[in-house]
Amino acid sequence: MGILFWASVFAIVYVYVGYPALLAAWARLAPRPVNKGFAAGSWPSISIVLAARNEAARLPGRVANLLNLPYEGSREIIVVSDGSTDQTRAALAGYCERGAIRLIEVPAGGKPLALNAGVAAATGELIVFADARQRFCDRALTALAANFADPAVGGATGELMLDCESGESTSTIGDGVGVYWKYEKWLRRNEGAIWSTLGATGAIYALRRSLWQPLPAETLLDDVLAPMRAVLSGWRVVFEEEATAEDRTAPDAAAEARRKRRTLAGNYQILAQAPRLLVPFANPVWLQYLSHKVGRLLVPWALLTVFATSAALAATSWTYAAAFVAQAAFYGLAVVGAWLDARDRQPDERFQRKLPVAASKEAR
Amino acid sequence: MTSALKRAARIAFTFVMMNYSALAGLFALRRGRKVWK
Repeated sequence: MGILFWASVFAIVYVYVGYPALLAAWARLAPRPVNKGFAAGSWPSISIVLAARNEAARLPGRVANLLNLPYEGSREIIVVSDGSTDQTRAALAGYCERGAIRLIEVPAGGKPLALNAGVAAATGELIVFADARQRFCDRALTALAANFADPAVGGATGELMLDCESGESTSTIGDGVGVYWKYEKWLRRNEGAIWSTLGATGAIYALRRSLWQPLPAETLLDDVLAPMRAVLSGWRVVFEEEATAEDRTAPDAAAEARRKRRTLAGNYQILAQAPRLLVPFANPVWLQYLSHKVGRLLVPWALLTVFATSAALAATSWTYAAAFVAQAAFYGLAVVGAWLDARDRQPDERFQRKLPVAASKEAR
Repeated sequence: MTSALKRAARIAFTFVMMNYSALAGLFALRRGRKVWK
């Protein structure tokens, strides 16, 4: 039982401390810079694909944002309405009539099928994926596209900025999510610096159109599966921090838990969809994938094991007793946090609406 | 309760909630895709 305890402690410490330390050293000692930028007149054409369901209220503003972004190359905007039953068509009629966007209406089938339809209609060399809720910064398209001047780059993910990072969120879990999201982006930045990130941010990323393969309908993490397919084929997916999209934090723990549940279920699912991810010589980022993504799936089990084994062994040694007391104190603190969350929770109509699968899954 | 303690409590709660979600996600996945639609 002692071995189980220490093996679990090692797993937790490695995932949250050891791997980041290894990554930091790796990125410092062996960075692989990206050759960015195109000569004037040679910027690649882009197709912005936005899948949405019942987002009539947000889409006009979102399309205006996408149309107004400076970009030297040509662009097209494709909005895929995934079985919308609201006024999506009417809301976008003006843009469609003057040819600013193309609206594709498909039966409700979920985000993966909507994206498949959008990419099938796209003609750009690069596909830029966007969601309805966020806004891109002015440099987003240029910063994303610049990475594709490097022939090794197959994809580029932007940076999602949550309001809780700047302390502007009213979310009851803004503190925790803010810390987590900064940590997560730090990992992604360094993973991209040494070779490739392990996925992308669904709200803002770009992929060479030639690398797109239709997604299975049941896919939960389109923004991990599509980029990782490219990585498994030998391409890089890099983190571009100059391309940002702004978003709000989930209003409370319940909303965040739903989102995390879907994301982590997706992390299990993707192992079945792309088992090569677990094969050392088939996955160029095998160690990173195991340490980051698979590690996150193992940590909850390790936490349970550490708690149970330290409780069972507490009477045999001060070390186990101290470990048990420390965990009990930590979980007690978490209970206080749960109480604070329940106390401060405020209904937020914008988030109470059930988000369709087509909505963003960030922050992961 | 001090603001530092409150912040620590919220961060601890978020950590536990996220890890719980990994377990819940696994069980939800076993129920099939209708969970997500």
